[in-house]
Amino acid sequence: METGIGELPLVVAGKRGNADVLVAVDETAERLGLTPGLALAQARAMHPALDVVPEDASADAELLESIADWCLRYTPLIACDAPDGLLLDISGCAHLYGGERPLVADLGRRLAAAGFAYRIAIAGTIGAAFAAARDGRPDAYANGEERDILCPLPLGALRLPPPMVASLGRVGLKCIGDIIDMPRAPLTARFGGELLRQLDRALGREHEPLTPRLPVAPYVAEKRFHDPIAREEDVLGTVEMLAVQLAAALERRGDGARRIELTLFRTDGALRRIAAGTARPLRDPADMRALFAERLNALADELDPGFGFDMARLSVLVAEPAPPEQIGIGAAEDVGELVRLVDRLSARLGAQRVRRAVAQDSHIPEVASVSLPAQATGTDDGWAAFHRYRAEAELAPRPLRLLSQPEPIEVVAEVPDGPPLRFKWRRALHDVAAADGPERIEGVWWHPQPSEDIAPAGNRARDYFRVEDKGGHRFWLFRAGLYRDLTRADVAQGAIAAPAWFVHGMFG
Amino acid sequence: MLDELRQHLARLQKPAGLVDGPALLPLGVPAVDEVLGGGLARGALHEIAALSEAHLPAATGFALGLAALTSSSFRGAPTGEPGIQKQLLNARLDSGSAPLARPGMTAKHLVWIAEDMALAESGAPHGAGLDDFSLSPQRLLTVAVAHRQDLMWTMEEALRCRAVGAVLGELRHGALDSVAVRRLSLAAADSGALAFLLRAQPAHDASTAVTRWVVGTAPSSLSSPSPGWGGSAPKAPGWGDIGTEFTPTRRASHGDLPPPGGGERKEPGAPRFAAHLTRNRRGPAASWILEWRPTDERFVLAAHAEPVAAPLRHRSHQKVA
Repeated sequence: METGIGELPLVVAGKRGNADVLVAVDETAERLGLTPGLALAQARAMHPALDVVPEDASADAELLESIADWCLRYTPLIACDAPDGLLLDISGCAHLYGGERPLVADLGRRLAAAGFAYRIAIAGTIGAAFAAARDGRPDAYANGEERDILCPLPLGALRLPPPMVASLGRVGLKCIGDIIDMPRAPLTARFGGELLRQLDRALGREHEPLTPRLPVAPYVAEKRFHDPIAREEDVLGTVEMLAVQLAAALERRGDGARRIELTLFRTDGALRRIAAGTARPLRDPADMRALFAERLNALADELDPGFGFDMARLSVLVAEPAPPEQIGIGAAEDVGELVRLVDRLSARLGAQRVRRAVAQDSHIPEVASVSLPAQATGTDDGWAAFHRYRAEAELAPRPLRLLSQPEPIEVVAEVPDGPPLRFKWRRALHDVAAADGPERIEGVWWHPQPSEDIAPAGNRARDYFRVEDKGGHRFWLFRAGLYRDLTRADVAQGAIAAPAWFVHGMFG
Repeated sequence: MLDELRQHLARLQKPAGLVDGPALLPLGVPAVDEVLGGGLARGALHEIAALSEAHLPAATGFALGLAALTSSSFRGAPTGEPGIQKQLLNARLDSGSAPLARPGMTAKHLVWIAEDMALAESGAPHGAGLDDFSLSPQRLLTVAVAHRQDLMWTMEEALRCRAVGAVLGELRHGALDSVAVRRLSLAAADSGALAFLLRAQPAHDASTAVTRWVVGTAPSSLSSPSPGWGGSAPKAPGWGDIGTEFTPTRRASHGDLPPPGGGERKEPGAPRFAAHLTRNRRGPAASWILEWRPTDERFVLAAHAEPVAAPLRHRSHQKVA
């Protein structure tokens, strides 16, 4: 696919079975009569001065993917046809370039400028385009010409497994024209259903879906530039302009955007994709612009416009039904303001960093109240239920700050089950002046006992104490495990770990 | 001539919150409000430093207490009867689910911004614990930032949001960028929100903060629990009122044992803070011991700290603590 520049013939060699064979050759090598599939040893024997490059399949695949990305400028519907083909569904896209031939010319010019050798064909079916591009005369064919394209081509152009092509050849069937009008039943009986299926697909008798490698966005707006743009303000201006188009489309269907992606096509073929999430369905173009302003700010130098972007596309990746805009009511406005703040902060700092507390149905304190990304939390965050439960069960106060992991402490307690007299935490000794408790929280028996390394407190019952030391510092301590469960034999055998003390939080 | 210029400069430097008189938030403690000239200035930056890192939870509690005052409407006389307290508690809990149910309360949000390190070292805000500071966890937004610049940027952004009533930025170490602080003051003045800068250690750098507090813990009024843990003897209102009754979830495993420590078993009372006002644009510096009453949603004066004397940094106990 790539053309070599040096004087030596360049070939790419890789393993096929047990043999080293040529996988790809450049023009110089081709003129010397080297063809892909030839054994490397034989090629070396023919031409000792060969520049041999080992095959790197994963790099090839990556390159193909990036070319596919770059082709997004023509159509969102692209599938990779490994190892060296791309399928583009350009239905309804060609008019943007003034027709199919100008599109092919534009694509070819850009590919050639990037140093790629290419064969491009347009046809009414995937199979026909495939055959024309690989074995026929690359051109833009109209719908209905499939039969004419296919008839003179060898059967291998039909995307059939090589053994089948070989066995067809043995009975004298070499060209697609040979089988195109044959009775179907004997062919199927002898060669299986695949042969006629591929033929039908190539002829358009059977529909063949193209599975795009990227999900197709429900809403897309794009803009091409004659002069590439590079300045951030221009990019943001473009975003707002495209957002206006999107907003109209979103409003028509009563949708709002939850995830928006900005794709910037750099003149040299590189692609910049910038996505931003929102906390609730969004339609306002000014808000979308603000969102991307933060994203671009956070990216700073990473954006790297190079010689500029010659195309921009704004697509809504995830849309959700949005209720009609409410205007004028103070509380609703305030909520909207907060949502905008959440979106802005999430865009700049990352959605994981902007969090909201959510109450969950659990007794374990670190599970009962967790913080989740604010954009992901819904309207029901569980606090109403928690507050009802708290009032009913008369739960003891909870600490203001909770440590991410309970930290083990050394404790002197007067009675084994009682509150500590003094304890040592982070190398400081605290004398307990007052304590309240215990509040027992049983472990969850339906979970297996985790190992001590992962969860030092384990899954054991906890007795929580609210203690105040002589200096007035207030802590939330607990003892994991109960002495009542413990027998001397257990400890000796190490079957049950001895109860251990932890500090879990601090009160204000 | 010079005086004129100075006056002009002072006018320029004054944040808007100070010029507009009514933007004051009374603490409800006459002694404190008098020193503050009527109350805590809204739309201004306030610095609250912990006496040392160990006192950070107390400083946090103090700041949250102040933030809670913005939404509290129970500014009446303290109520002592348990029945009324229960009502108040229920009212508060209900208001959590429907923030607009209470008249006079604005459903403003609290944004708490801290560096990753601070959250790992000193613990993250715990939703259920905010209840005891009369703050509904629904109205809390926590932002973890990677470094100082993001902290300042986020604080400013949050202050410019109309739905935010108070912003709490937690700063662990180091001096402040005076320009950033100035921007915060201006942003706060524009929006009328309360901006708190919570610091793990007292600092002496120049700042445009209207007040600067150094807060430490203070021993609470310890109360003796009633015999057998289950009675209903009167206790200090506050912490002890929530959930000290005998319920299956709070079964004392040694309920019949004699209380340890020679019969002197104490429970912690309502949280108390040793609050030193070390910088005050409207009046003198002063120190108090304030107690937070969760059920009343207000501070009360517990006792005077040592008489106001030399600036705090000259005191020896600061180092020890």
